[in-house]
Amino acid sequence: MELFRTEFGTIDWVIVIVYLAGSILIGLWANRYVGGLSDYLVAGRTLRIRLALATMTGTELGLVTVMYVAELGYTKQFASLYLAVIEVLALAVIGATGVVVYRLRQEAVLTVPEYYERRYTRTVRVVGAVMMVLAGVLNMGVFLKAGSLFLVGVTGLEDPMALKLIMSSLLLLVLFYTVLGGMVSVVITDLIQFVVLGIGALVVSVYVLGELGGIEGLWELSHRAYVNPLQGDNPLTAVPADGVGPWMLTAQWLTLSIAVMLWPATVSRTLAVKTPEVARRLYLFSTIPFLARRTLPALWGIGAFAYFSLHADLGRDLQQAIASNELSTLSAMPLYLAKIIPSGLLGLVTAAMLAAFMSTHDSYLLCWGGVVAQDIVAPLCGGLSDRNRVLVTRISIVVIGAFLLFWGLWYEIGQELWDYLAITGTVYLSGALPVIVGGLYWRRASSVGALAALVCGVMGVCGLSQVIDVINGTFFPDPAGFQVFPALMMLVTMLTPTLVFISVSLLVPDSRHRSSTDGESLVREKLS
Amino acid sequence: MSDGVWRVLWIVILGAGLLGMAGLLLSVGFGSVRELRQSLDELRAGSGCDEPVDEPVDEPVDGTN
Repeated sequence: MELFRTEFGTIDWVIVIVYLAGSILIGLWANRYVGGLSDYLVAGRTLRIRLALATMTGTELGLVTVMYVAELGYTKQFASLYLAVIEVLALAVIGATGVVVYRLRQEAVLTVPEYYERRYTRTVRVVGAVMMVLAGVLNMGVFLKAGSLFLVGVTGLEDPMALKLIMSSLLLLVLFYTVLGGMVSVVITDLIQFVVLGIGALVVSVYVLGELGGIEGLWELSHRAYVNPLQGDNPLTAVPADGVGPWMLTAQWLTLSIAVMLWPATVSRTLAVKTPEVARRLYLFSTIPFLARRTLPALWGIGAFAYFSLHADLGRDLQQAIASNELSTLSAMPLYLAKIIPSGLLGLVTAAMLAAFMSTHDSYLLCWGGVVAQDIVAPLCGGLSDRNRVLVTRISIVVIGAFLLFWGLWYEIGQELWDYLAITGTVYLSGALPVIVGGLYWRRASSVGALAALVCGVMGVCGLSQVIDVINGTFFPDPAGFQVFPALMMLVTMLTPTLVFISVSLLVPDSRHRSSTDGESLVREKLS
Repeated sequence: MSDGVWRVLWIVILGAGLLGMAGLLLSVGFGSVRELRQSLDELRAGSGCDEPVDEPVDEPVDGTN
Protein backbone atom coordinates (compact mmCIF):
# COMPACT_ATOMS: atom_id res chain seq x y z
CA MET A 1 0.00 0.00 0.00
CA GLU A 2 1.41 3.39 -1.05
CA LEU A 3 0.43 4.91 2.29
CA PHE A 4 2.95 2.65 4.06
CA ARG A 5 5.79 3.27 1.57
CA THR A 6 8.98 4.10 3.48
CA GLU A 7 12.61 5.00 2.89
CA PHE A 8 13.60 2.89 5.93
CA GLY A 9 16.25 0.36 4.82
CA THR A 10 18.94 -2.02 6.11
CA ILE A 11 21.37 0.76 7.00
CA ASP A 12 18.66 2.31 9.19
CA TRP A 13 18.15 -0.96 11.07
CA VAL A 14 21.92 -1.18 11.63
CA ILE A 15 22.02 2.35 13.09
CA VAL A 16 19.12 1.56 15.42
CA ILE A 17 20.60 -1.76 16.61
CA VAL A 18 24.05 -0.25 17.27
CA TYR A 19 22.45 2.51 19.31
CA LEU A 20 20.40 0.08 21.38
CA ALA A 21 23.41 -2.16 22.03
CA GLY A 22 25.29 0.90 23.30
CA SER A 23 22.52 1.55 25.81
CA ILE A 24 22.93 -1.95 27.27
CA LEU A 25 26.65 -1.42 27.76
CA ILE A 26 26.05 1.89 29.53
CA GLY A 27 23.54 0.24 31.87
CA LEU A 28 26.14 -2.34 32.83
CA TRP A 29 28.87 0.25 33.28
CA ALA A 30 26.76 2.62 35.42
CA ASN A 31 26.05 -0.08 38.00
CA ARG A 32 29.55 0.39 39.46
CA TYR A 33 28.63 3.88 40.69
CA VAL A 34 25.60 2.83 42.71
CA GLY A 35 26.56 2.66 46.37
CA GLY A 36 23.43 3.30 48.43
CA LEU A 37 19.79 4.27 48.23
CA SER A 38 20.51 7.96 47.61
CA ASP A 39 22.85 7.04 44.74
CA TYR A 40 20.21 4.76 43.27
CA LEU A 41 17.20 7.08 43.51
CA VAL A 42 18.64 10.60 43.11
CA ALA A 43 22.22 9.94 41.92
CA GLY A 44 23.52 11.01 45.33
CA ARG A 45 22.10 14.51 44.64
CA THR A 46 25.20 15.34 42.61
CA LEU A 47 23.53 16.87 39.55
CA ARG A 48 24.54 20.37 38.49
CA ILE A 49 22.55 22.69 36.29
CA ARG A 50 23.64 21.63 32.79
CA LEU A 51 23.49 17.93 33.47
CA ALA A 52 20.11 18.26 35.17
CA LEU A 53 18.85 20.30 32.23
CA ALA A 54 20.09 17.80 29.66
CA THR A 55 18.56 14.84 31.46
CA MET A 56 15.33 16.69 32.15
CA THR A 57 15.07 17.39 28.42
CA GLY A 58 15.71 13.73 27.72
CA THR A 59 12.91 12.77 30.09
CA GLU A 60 10.37 15.37 29.07
CA LEU A 61 10.93 15.14 25.32
CA GLY A 62 9.76 11.55 25.16
CA LEU A 63 8.43 9.70 22.14
CA VAL A 64 4.95 9.86 23.61
CA THR A 65 5.32 13.67 23.76
CA VAL A 66 6.53 13.76 20.19
CA MET A 67 3.55 11.64 19.13
CA TYR A 68 0.81 13.57 20.90
CA VAL A 69 2.20 17.01 20.01
CA ALA A 70 2.52 15.93 16.36
CA GLU A 71 -1.01 14.51 16.48
CA LEU A 72 -2.29 17.87 17.73
CA GLY A 73 -0.24 19.61 15.01
CA TYR A 74 -1.90 17.37 12.41
CA THR A 75 -5.47 17.78 13.71
CA LYS A 76 -5.38 21.37 14.99
CA GLN A 77 -2.33 22.76 13.14
CA PHE A 78 -1.10 26.13 14.45
CA ALA A 79 -3.83 26.41 17.08
CA SER A 80 -2.25 23.45 18.91
CA LEU A 81 0.70 25.69 19.81
CA TYR A 82 -1.32 27.30 22.60
CA LEU A 83 0.01 24.48 24.82
CA ALA A 84 3.57 25.76 24.23
CA VAL A 85 2.61 29.23 25.41
CA ILE A 86 0.93 27.92 28.57
CA GLU A 87 3.79 25.61 29.47
CA VAL A 88 6.57 28.13 28.88
CA LEU A 89 4.79 30.86 30.84
CA ALA A 90 4.20 28.48 33.76
CA LEU A 91 7.85 27.42 33.82
CA ALA A 92 9.06 31.01 33.59
CA VAL A 93 6.94 32.03 36.58
CA ILE A 94 8.15 29.07 38.65
CA GLY A 95 11.76 29.67 37.59
CA ALA A 96 11.63 33.37 38.37
CA THR A 97 9.94 33.02 41.76
CA GLY A 98 10.99 29.53 42.87
CA VAL A 99 7.43 29.01 44.07
CA VAL A 100 6.92 25.51 45.54
CA VAL A 101 10.04 23.93 43.96
CA TYR A 102 12.52 25.90 46.09
CA ARG A 103 10.87 24.95 49.36
CA LEU A 104 10.30 21.39 48.23
CA ARG A 105 14.02 20.93 47.50
CA GLN A 106 14.83 22.55 50.88
CA GLU A 107 12.93 19.71 52.53
CA ALA A 108 15.71 17.35 51.27
CA VAL A 109 13.31 14.47 50.73
CA LEU A 110 13.81 11.66 48.21
CA THR A 111 10.20 11.55 47.01
CA VAL A 112 7.07 13.70 47.20
CA PRO A 113 5.18 11.30 49.53
CA GLU A 114 8.11 11.46 51.94
CA TYR A 115 7.28 15.13 52.25
CA TYR A 116 3.66 14.16 52.97
CA GLU A 117 4.78 12.25 56.06
CA ARG A 118 7.08 15.02 57.20
CA ARG A 119 4.32 17.60 56.93
CA TYR A 120 1.24 15.47 57.71
CA THR A 121 1.17 11.80 58.75
CA ARG A 122 2.39 8.41 57.60
CA THR A 123 -1.11 7.52 56.38
CA VAL A 124 -1.09 10.57 54.11
CA ARG A 125 2.24 9.40 52.76
CA VAL A 126 0.99 5.91 51.91
CA VAL A 127 -2.32 7.10 50.42
CA GLY A 128 -0.53 9.84 48.46
CA ALA A 129 1.96 7.31 47.13
CA VAL A 130 -0.79 4.90 46.05
CA MET A 131 -2.59 7.71 44.18
CA MET A 132 0.66 8.81 42.57
CA VAL A 133 1.56 5.35 41.34
CA LEU A 134 -2.01 4.68 40.14
CA ALA A 135 -2.09 7.89 38.10
CA GLY A 136 1.47 7.55 36.89
CA VAL A 137 1.17 3.97 35.71
CA LEU A 138 -2.20 4.60 34.02
CA ASN A 139 -0.64 7.64 32.36
CA MET A 140 2.35 5.65 31.25
CA GLY A 141 0.18 2.79 30.04
CA VAL A 142 -0.20 4.24 26.54
CA PHE A 143 3.45 5.11 25.99
CA LEU A 144 4.18 1.70 24.49
CA LYS A 145 1.31 1.95 22.05
CA ALA A 146 2.37 5.43 20.94
CA GLY A 147 5.91 4.11 20.41
CA SER A 148 4.68 1.16 18.38
CA LEU A 149 2.58 3.42 16.15
CA PHE A 150 5.67 5.47 15.43
CA LEU A 151 7.67 2.38 14.49
CA VAL A 152 4.90 1.05 12.25
CA GLY A 153 4.69 4.37 10.42
CA VAL A 154 8.41 4.86 9.96
CA THR A 155 9.57 1.30 9.23
CA GLY A 156 6.48 0.15 7.34
CA LEU A 157 6.46 -2.91 9.59
CA GLU A 158 2.86 -4.03 9.39
CA ASP A 159 3.14 -7.48 11.01
CA PRO A 160 1.50 -6.99 14.43
CA MET A 161 3.46 -9.85 16.04
CA ALA A 162 6.84 -8.48 14.93
CA LEU A 163 5.85 -5.10 16.22
CA LYS A 164 4.81 -6.44 19.62
CA LEU A 165 8.10 -8.30 19.89
CA ILE A 166 10.11 -5.18 19.08
CA MET A 167 8.23 -3.03 21.57
CA SER A 168 8.50 -5.70 24.27
CA SER A 169 12.24 -5.96 23.62
CA LEU A 170 12.61 -2.18 23.93
CA LEU A 171 10.79 -2.22 27.23
CA LEU A 172 12.97 -5.07 28.48
CA LEU A 173 16.05 -3.10 27.46
CA VAL A 174 14.93 -0.07 29.48
CA LEU A 175 14.04 -2.30 32.43
CA PHE A 176 17.46 -3.87 32.24
CA TYR A 177 19.55 -0.73 32.56
CA THR A 178 17.16 1.05 34.92
CA VAL A 179 16.92 -1.85 37.34
CA LEU A 180 20.65 -2.25 37.28
CA GLY A 181 21.96 1.29 37.46
CA GLY A 182 19.10 3.35 38.93
CA MET A 183 19.34 7.14 38.60
CA VAL A 184 23.04 7.03 37.74
CA SER A 185 22.28 4.88 34.71
CA VAL A 186 19.24 7.02 33.87
CA VAL A 187 21.30 10.22 33.96
CA ILE A 188 24.08 8.85 31.75
CA THR A 189 21.73 7.35 29.17
CA ASP A 190 19.50 10.44 29.27
CA LEU A 191 22.50 12.63 28.48
CA ILE A 192 23.38 10.54 25.43
CA GLN A 193 19.71 10.40 24.46
CA PHE A 194 19.50 14.18 24.83
CA VAL A 195 22.28 14.64 22.26
CA VAL A 196 20.93 12.01 19.82
CA LEU A 197 17.39 13.28 20.25
CA GLY A 198 18.36 16.94 19.90
CA ILE A 199 20.27 16.33 16.67
CA GLY A 200 17.49 14.07 15.34
CA ALA A 201 14.79 16.62 16.15
CA LEU A 202 16.71 19.40 14.40
CA VAL A 203 17.35 17.25 11.31
CA VAL A 204 13.66 16.36 11.01
CA SER A 205 12.59 19.98 11.55
CA VAL A 206 14.92 21.24 8.83
CA TYR A 207 13.59 18.60 6.42
CA VAL A 208 9.98 19.43 7.26
CA LEU A 209 10.62 23.15 6.91
CA GLY A 210 12.30 22.55 3.54
CA GLU A 211 9.36 20.41 2.42
CA LEU A 212 6.96 23.20 3.42
CA GLY A 213 8.91 25.80 1.43
CA GLY A 214 10.68 27.48 4.35
CA ILE A 215 9.23 30.27 6.47
CA GLU A 216 7.35 31.67 3.48
CA GLY A 217 5.69 28.34 2.82
CA LEU A 218 4.80 28.03 6.50
CA TRP A 219 3.29 31.50 6.44
CA GLU A 220 1.28 30.64 3.33
CA LEU A 221 0.07 27.44 4.97
CA SER A 222 -1.12 29.36 8.04
CA HIS A 223 -3.71 31.09 5.83
CA ARG A 224 -5.47 27.79 5.13
CA ALA A 225 -5.06 26.17 8.56
CA TYR A 226 -6.62 26.40 12.02
CA VAL A 227 -4.85 29.23 13.86
CA ASN A 228 -7.15 30.68 16.54
CA PRO A 229 -7.39 28.42 19.65
CA LEU A 230 -10.17 30.57 21.13
CA GLN A 231 -12.37 29.27 18.33
CA GLY A 232 -14.16 26.17 19.63
CA ASP A 233 -14.90 24.87 16.11
CA ASN A 234 -12.06 23.75 13.89
CA PRO A 235 -12.86 25.57 10.61
CA LEU A 236 -11.35 22.76 8.53
CA THR A 237 -13.68 20.01 9.71
CA ALA A 238 -17.42 19.49 9.64
CA VAL A 239 -17.45 18.01 13.17
CA PRO A 240 -18.88 20.52 15.68
CA ALA A 241 -16.80 21.64 18.69
CA ASP A 242 -13.68 19.67 17.70
CA GLY A 243 -11.36 22.66 18.10
CA VAL A 244 -9.81 24.01 21.29
CA GLY A 245 -12.13 26.74 22.61
CA PRO A 246 -12.19 28.61 25.94
CA TRP A 247 -13.23 25.60 28.07
CA MET A 248 -10.43 23.35 26.89
CA LEU A 249 -7.97 26.24 27.00
CA THR A 250 -8.79 26.93 30.65
CA ALA A 251 -8.69 23.25 31.61
CA GLN A 252 -5.33 22.77 29.89
CA TRP A 253 -3.91 25.96 31.39
CA LEU A 254 -4.76 24.71 34.88
CA THR A 255 -3.54 21.16 34.31
CA LEU A 256 -0.31 22.08 32.55
CA SER A 257 0.65 24.81 35.02
CA ILE A 258 0.31 22.35 37.88
CA ALA A 259 1.95 19.50 35.96
CA VAL A 260 5.18 21.38 35.24
CA MET A 261 5.47 22.12 38.95
CA LEU A 262 4.37 18.85 40.55
CA TRP A 263 4.56 15.97 38.06
CA PRO A 264 6.57 13.33 39.96
CA ALA A 265 9.11 12.55 37.23
CA THR A 266 9.91 16.28 36.98
CA VAL A 267 9.99 16.67 40.75
CA SER A 268 12.36 13.70 41.07
CA ARG A 269 14.85 15.64 38.93
CA THR A 270 14.27 18.72 41.10
CA LEU A 271 15.04 16.65 44.18
CA ALA A 272 18.20 15.26 42.57
CA VAL A 273 19.91 18.62 42.01
CA LYS A 274 22.53 19.97 44.38
CA THR A 275 20.74 22.93 45.97
CA PRO A 276 17.32 24.65 46.08
CA GLU A 277 18.77 27.49 43.99
CA VAL A 278 19.78 25.03 41.26
CA ALA A 279 16.24 23.64 41.39
CA ARG A 280 14.82 27.12 40.76
CA ARG A 281 17.24 27.85 37.94
CA LEU A 282 16.55 24.45 36.42
CA TYR A 283 12.96 25.54 35.91
CA LEU A 284 13.95 28.87 34.40
CA PHE A 285 16.30 27.25 31.87
CA SER A 286 13.80 24.46 31.20
CA THR A 287 11.64 26.96 29.32
CA ILE A 288 13.88 26.34 26.28
CA PRO A 289 13.61 22.52 26.04
CA PHE A 290 9.94 22.65 26.99
CA LEU A 291 9.34 25.16 24.21
CA ALA A 292 11.18 22.84 21.83
CA ARG A 293 9.16 19.80 22.89
CA ARG A 294 5.90 21.64 22.25
CA THR A 295 6.89 23.24 18.96
CA LEU A 296 9.14 20.94 16.93
CA PRO A 297 6.81 17.90 16.88
CA ALA A 298 3.90 20.30 16.24
CA LEU A 299 5.80 21.51 13.17
CA TRP A 300 6.11 17.90 11.99
CA GLY A 301 2.36 17.40 12.50
CA ILE A 302 1.66 20.59 10.56
CA GLY A 303 3.97 19.27 7.84
CA ALA A 304 1.98 16.00 7.75
CA PHE A 305 -1.23 18.01 7.45
CA ALA A 306 0.19 19.93 4.47
CA TYR A 307 1.61 16.78 2.85
CA PHE A 308 -1.61 14.76 3.04
CA SER A 309 -3.60 17.77 1.85
CA LEU A 310 -1.31 18.17 -1.15
CA HIS A 311 -1.18 14.44 -2.00
CA ALA A 312 -4.90 13.98 -2.16
CA ASP A 313 -4.81 10.23 -2.93
CA LEU A 314 -2.62 9.47 0.09
CA GLY A 315 -4.68 11.83 2.22
CA ARG A 316 -7.84 9.99 1.21
CA ASP A 317 -6.24 6.60 2.04
CA LEU A 318 -5.20 7.94 5.44
CA GLN A 319 -8.64 9.34 6.20
CA GLN A 320 -10.26 6.04 5.21
CA ALA A 321 -7.86 4.09 7.42
CA ILE A 322 -8.62 6.45 10.32
CA ALA A 323 -12.38 6.20 9.75
CA SER A 324 -12.20 2.38 9.77
CA ASN A 325 -10.05 2.44 12.96
CA GLU A 326 -7.24 0.72 11.09
CA LEU A 327 -5.05 3.74 11.92
CA SER A 328 -5.40 6.80 14.14
CA THR A 329 -4.38 10.42 13.65
CA LEU A 330 -1.28 9.54 15.68
CA SER A 331 0.08 7.71 12.64
CA ALA A 332 0.02 10.74 10.31
CA MET A 333 3.38 12.17 11.41
CA PRO A 334 5.47 8.94 11.23
CA LEU A 335 3.91 8.01 7.87
CA TYR A 336 4.88 11.48 6.63
CA LEU A 337 8.47 11.31 7.92
CA ALA A 338 8.93 7.89 6.29
CA LYS A 339 8.33 9.54 2.93
CA ILE A 340 10.36 12.74 3.17
CA ILE A 341 13.51 11.68 5.05
CA PRO A 342 16.10 9.65 3.11
CA SER A 343 17.44 6.28 4.18
CA GLY A 344 20.38 6.60 6.59
CA LEU A 345 19.04 9.76 8.12
CA LEU A 346 15.80 7.95 8.82
CA GLY A 347 17.80 5.46 10.91
CA LEU A 348 19.29 8.33 12.91
CA VAL A 349 15.85 9.86 13.39
CA THR A 350 14.40 6.52 14.48
CA ALA A 351 17.29 6.00 16.90
CA ALA A 352 16.58 9.51 18.22
CA MET A 353 12.93 8.68 18.72
CA LEU A 354 13.75 5.39 20.40
CA ALA A 355 16.12 7.41 22.58
CA ALA A 356 13.17 9.61 23.43
CA PHE A 357 11.09 6.51 24.18
CA MET A 358 13.71 5.04 26.49
CA SER A 359 14.70 8.25 28.29
CA THR A 360 11.12 8.83 29.38
CA HIS A 361 10.49 5.21 30.33
CA ASP A 362 13.61 4.91 32.46
CA SER A 363 12.91 8.04 34.51
CA TYR A 364 9.25 7.20 34.96
CA LEU A 365 9.95 3.59 35.92
CA LEU A 366 12.55 4.67 38.44
CA CYS A 367 10.25 7.34 39.82
CA TRP A 368 7.25 5.03 40.33
CA GLY A 369 9.41 2.11 41.49
CA GLY A 370 11.09 4.37 44.03
CA VAL A 371 7.76 5.58 45.33
CA VAL A 372 6.47 2.01 45.77
CA ALA A 373 9.55 1.03 47.79
CA GLN A 374 10.03 4.25 49.74
CA ASP A 375 6.49 5.32 50.36
CA ILE A 376 4.26 2.24 50.28
CA VAL A 377 6.23 -0.89 51.17
CA ALA A 378 8.73 0.64 53.63
CA PRO A 379 6.17 2.55 55.76
CA LEU A 380 3.79 -0.43 55.79
CA CYS A 381 6.58 -2.82 56.81
CA GLY A 382 7.76 -0.48 59.56
CA GLY A 383 10.96 0.41 57.70
CA LEU A 384 13.42 -1.33 55.39
CA SER A 385 17.19 -1.34 55.16
CA ASP A 386 18.75 0.61 52.26
CA ARG A 387 19.69 -2.64 50.60
CA ASN A 388 16.11 -3.92 50.80
CA ARG A 389 14.73 -0.61 49.54
CA VAL A 390 16.89 -0.85 46.42
CA LEU A 391 15.73 -4.46 46.01
CA VAL A 392 12.04 -3.53 46.36
CA THR A 393 12.54 -0.63 43.93
CA ARG A 394 14.02 -3.02 41.39
CA ILE A 395 11.19 -5.52 41.82
CA SER A 396 8.60 -2.73 41.53
CA ILE A 397 10.17 -1.53 38.28
CA VAL A 398 9.87 -5.03 36.82
CA VAL A 399 6.23 -5.39 38.00
CA ILE A 400 5.28 -1.98 36.57
CA GLY A 401 7.03 -2.91 33.33
CA ALA A 402 4.98 -6.11 33.08
CA PHE A 403 1.78 -4.11 33.63
CA LEU A 404 2.77 -1.61 30.93
CA LEU A 405 3.28 -4.41 28.47
CA PHE A 406 -0.15 -5.84 29.24
CA TRP A 407 -1.97 -2.48 29.28
CA GLY A 408 -0.15 -1.08 26.25
CA LEU A 409 -1.10 -4.05 24.10
CA TRP A 410 -4.85 -4.08 24.71
CA TYR A 411 -6.06 -0.64 25.84
CA GLU A 412 -7.68 1.41 23.06
CA ILE A 413 -7.24 5.18 23.38
CA GLY A 414 -10.74 6.69 23.12
CA GLN A 415 -9.65 10.31 22.63
CA GLU A 416 -6.66 12.29 21.43
CA LEU A 417 -3.55 11.00 23.20
CA TRP A 418 -2.83 14.28 24.96
CA ASP A 419 -6.33 14.40 26.44
CA TYR A 420 -5.85 10.88 27.82
CA LEU A 421 -2.52 11.88 29.39
CA ALA A 422 -3.93 15.08 30.89
CA ILE A 423 -6.93 13.25 32.34
CA THR A 424 -4.97 10.41 33.93
CA GLY A 425 -2.46 12.96 35.22
CA THR A 426 -5.32 14.76 36.93
CA VAL A 427 -5.82 11.76 39.25
CA TYR A 428 -2.54 12.65 40.92
CA LEU A 429 -2.21 16.37 40.24
CA SER A 430 -5.62 17.44 41.53
CA GLY A 431 -4.93 15.94 44.96
CA ALA A 432 -1.22 16.78 45.09
CA LEU A 433 -1.77 20.47 44.35
CA PRO A 434 -3.55 21.40 47.59
CA VAL A 435 -1.61 18.89 49.70
CA ILE A 436 1.85 20.09 48.61
CA VAL A 437 1.16 23.79 48.14
CA GLY A 438 -1.06 23.92 51.23
CA GLY A 439 1.55 22.03 53.22
CA LEU A 440 4.33 24.41 52.20
CA TYR A 441 2.44 27.69 52.54
CA TRP A 442 -0.67 27.23 54.73
CA ARG A 443 -0.31 26.61 58.46
CA ARG A 444 -3.85 25.32 58.88
CA ALA A 445 -3.49 22.56 56.28
CA SER A 446 -4.50 19.39 58.12
CA SER A 447 -3.82 15.68 57.67
CA VAL A 448 -7.50 14.79 57.35
CA GLY A 449 -7.88 17.53 54.72
CA ALA A 450 -4.88 16.11 52.88
CA LEU A 451 -6.31 12.58 52.92
CA ALA A 452 -9.69 13.79 51.67
CA ALA A 453 -8.07 15.76 48.84
CA LEU A 454 -5.87 12.85 47.75
CA VAL A 455 -8.79 10.41 47.66
CA CYS A 456 -10.88 12.95 45.74
CA GLY A 457 -8.25 12.79 42.99
CA VAL A 458 -9.77 9.46 41.88
CA MET A 459 -12.52 11.59 40.34
CA GLY A 460 -9.97 12.36 37.63
CA VAL A 461 -10.81 9.11 35.80
CA CYS A 462 -14.26 10.61 35.13
CA GLY A 463 -12.60 12.60 32.34
CA LEU A 464 -11.88 9.46 30.27
CA SER A 465 -14.12 9.26 27.21
CA GLN A 466 -15.43 5.83 28.21
CA VAL A 467 -16.55 7.13 31.64
CA ILE A 468 -18.03 10.32 30.13
CA ASP A 469 -20.10 8.14 27.78
CA VAL A 470 -21.45 6.23 30.77
CA ILE A 471 -22.20 9.46 32.69
CA ASN A 472 -24.00 11.00 29.72
CA GLY A 473 -25.87 7.77 28.97
CA THR A 474 -27.05 7.51 32.59
CA PHE A 475 -27.70 11.10 33.65
CA PHE A 476 -27.94 13.11 30.42
CA PRO A 477 -29.44 10.78 27.82
CA ASP A 478 -30.71 13.57 25.53
CA PRO A 479 -27.89 14.35 23.04
CA ALA A 480 -29.59 17.67 22.16
CA GLY A 481 -29.61 18.75 25.83
CA PHE A 482 -26.78 19.22 28.33
CA GLN A 483 -23.89 16.78 27.92
CA VAL A 484 -20.77 16.40 30.01
CA PHE A 485 -17.57 16.96 27.98
CA PRO A 486 -13.87 16.28 28.75
CA ALA A 487 -12.80 19.89 29.42
CA LEU A 488 -15.64 20.38 31.91
CA MET A 489 -14.77 17.15 33.71
CA MET A 490 -11.09 18.12 33.81
CA LEU A 491 -11.93 21.44 35.44
CA VAL A 492 -14.36 19.92 37.94
CA THR A 493 -12.01 17.11 38.93
CA MET A 494 -9.02 19.46 39.14
CA LEU A 495 -10.72 21.98 41.42
CA THR A 496 -12.84 19.74 43.67
CA PRO A 497 -9.95 18.28 45.75
CA THR A 498 -8.70 21.82 46.52
CA LEU A 499 -12.11 22.89 47.75
CA VAL A 500 -12.42 19.68 49.78
CA PHE A 501 -8.92 20.18 51.21
CA ILE A 502 -9.65 23.72 52.40
CA SER A 503 -13.06 22.84 53.86
CA VAL A 504 -11.93 19.69 55.67
CA SER A 505 -8.73 21.33 56.96
CA LEU A 506 -10.80 24.10 58.52
CA LEU A 507 -13.37 21.67 59.93
CA VAL A 508 -10.91 19.02 61.17
CA PRO A 509 -7.63 20.74 62.09
CA ASP A 510 -4.56 18.85 63.29
CA SER A 511 -4.05 18.75 67.04
CA ARG A 512 -0.78 20.64 66.47
CA HIS A 513 0.61 22.31 63.36
CA ARG A 514 3.54 20.49 61.78
CA SER A 515 4.57 22.92 59.08
CA SER A 516 8.22 23.50 58.28
CA THR A 517 7.59 27.18 59.01
CA ASP A 518 6.79 26.21 62.61
CA GLY A 519 9.94 24.11 62.71
CA GLU A 520 12.02 27.07 61.64
CA SER A 521 10.37 29.23 64.31
CA LEU A 522 11.23 26.67 66.98
CA VAL A 523 14.87 26.62 65.90
CA ARG A 524 14.98 30.42 65.98
CA GLU A 525 13.44 30.44 69.48
CA LYS A 526 16.00 27.93 70.73
CA LEU A 527 18.87 29.88 69.24
CA SER A 528 17.70 33.12 70.79
CA MET B 1 -7.17 38.86 18.55
CA SER B 2 -7.29 38.71 14.77
CA ASP B 3 -6.08 35.68 12.83
CA GLY B 4 -3.13 37.75 11.55
CA VAL B 5 -1.80 38.27 15.08
CA TRP B 6 -2.17 34.56 15.84
CA ARG B 7 -0.24 33.68 12.67
CA VAL B 8 2.66 35.97 13.58
CA LEU B 9 2.69 34.59 17.14
CA TRP B 10 2.82 30.97 15.98
CA ILE B 11 5.58 31.57 13.42
CA VAL B 12 7.65 33.35 16.08
CA ILE B 13 7.07 30.51 18.56
CA LEU B 14 8.00 27.85 16.01
CA GLY B 15 11.19 29.75 15.17
CA ALA B 16 12.03 30.18 18.86
CA GLY B 17 11.57 26.46 19.44
CA LEU B 18 13.91 25.58 16.58
CA LEU B 19 16.61 28.06 17.56
CA GLY B 20 16.17 27.20 21.24
CA MET B 21 16.84 23.51 20.62
CA ALA B 22 19.94 24.30 18.55
CA GLY B 23 21.22 26.68 21.23
CA LEU B 24 20.48 24.19 23.97
CA LEU B 25 22.46 21.46 22.25
CA LEU B 26 25.47 23.75 21.85
CA SER B 27 25.46 25.35 25.28
CA VAL B 28 24.35 22.43 27.44
CA GLY B 29 25.82 19.51 25.50
CA PHE B 30 29.52 20.16 26.17
CA GLY B 31 29.14 21.51 29.70
CA SER B 32 26.99 18.61 30.79
CA VAL B 33 29.63 16.04 29.83
CA ARG B 34 32.09 17.77 32.18
CA GLU B 35 29.45 17.90 34.92
CA LEU B 36 28.70 14.21 34.43
CA ARG B 37 32.38 13.44 35.00
CA GLN B 38 32.32 15.51 38.20
CA SER B 39 29.17 13.74 39.44
CA LEU B 40 30.64 10.31 38.71
CA ASP B 41 33.85 11.26 40.51
CA GLU B 42 31.82 12.34 43.55
CA LEU B 43 29.79 9.14 43.47
CA ARG B 44 32.93 7.04 43.19
CA ALA B 45 34.51 8.90 46.10
CA GLY B 46 31.31 8.41 48.08
CA SER B 47 30.92 12.13 48.62
CA GLY B 48 27.47 12.34 47.05
CA CYS B 49 25.88 13.34 50.32
CA ASP B 50 22.32 14.60 50.80
CA GLU B 51 23.26 18.20 51.49
CA PRO B 52 26.49 19.45 49.95
CA VAL B 53 29.00 21.08 52.22
CA ASP B 54 30.52 23.18 49.48
CA GLU B 55 28.57 25.31 47.07
CA PRO B 56 28.35 23.86 43.54
CA VAL B 57 30.03 25.48 40.59
CA ASP B 58 27.10 26.84 38.61
CA GLU B 59 28.24 29.05 35.82
CA PRO B 60 25.58 30.64 33.61
CA VAL B 61 24.23 28.08 31.20
CA ASP B 62 25.33 30.08 28.20
CA GLY B 63 29.00 29.79 29.14
CA THR B 64 30.62 26.87 27.36
CA ASN B 65 33.84 26.43 29.21
